[in-house]
Amino acid sequence: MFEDYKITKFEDDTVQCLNSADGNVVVHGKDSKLFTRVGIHITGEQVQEPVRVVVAELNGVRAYFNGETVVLTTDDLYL
Amino acid sequence: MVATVTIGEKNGVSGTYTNKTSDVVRMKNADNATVDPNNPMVIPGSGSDWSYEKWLRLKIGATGPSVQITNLKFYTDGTNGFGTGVSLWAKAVSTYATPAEGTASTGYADAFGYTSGSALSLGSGPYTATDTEIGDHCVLLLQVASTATQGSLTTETVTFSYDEI
Repeated sequence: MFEDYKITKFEDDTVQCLNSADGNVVVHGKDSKLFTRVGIHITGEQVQEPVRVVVAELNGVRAYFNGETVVLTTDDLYL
Repeated sequence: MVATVTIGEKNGVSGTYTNKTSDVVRMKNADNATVDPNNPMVIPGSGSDWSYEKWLRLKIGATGPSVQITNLKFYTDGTNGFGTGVSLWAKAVSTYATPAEGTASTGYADAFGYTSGSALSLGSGPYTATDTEIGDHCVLLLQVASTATQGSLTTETVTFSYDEI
């Protein structure tokens, strides 16, 4: 899972999210975004550790990646 | 680096912040962050028993984001699994006030009306500063009516969410 990562934006608008354990995600273009979405669940009364996915968006199409599964959609998904 | 972000509960006149990540948030009939069986919710003979307000807020810890944190949200699964006579109310408040015992749901909305598709916004940001509470407080209030069933409640899940670069 993306517990640790580094996001870098280069001069040519390429944005890279690098995670040594799970590989990396790269998006390129001026209409692109790359960020992580974090959810902290309170289950019952217990506050859980955060879970996170990397979200890469290009021209309105988003890829959500949790290190194992990729979801490709135009929807704004929450964890 | 990944930012250190916690959920905290605030109590008392000064709003003492207690980090609740991997801990327990207990709705009760007192203003404290202590997880104990004291001051439990009770089923009234008539009317409702209201909990004290539970003021929750996200906080960036010692490690901040590489760029920023944005898009703070609160939501539930949309279904009240607590059963008959138990309601959970929620609202977003920017300025802290000493938690008070609830008396009505005025100003609140049904917490289970906030879903991933229609979440309660706690602030758009951007937030960057370390060791700083961010966004609005999420204030929760539990209502127990006379029609509630005695015993432990079914587990429910609520979620705080944010985007990080």
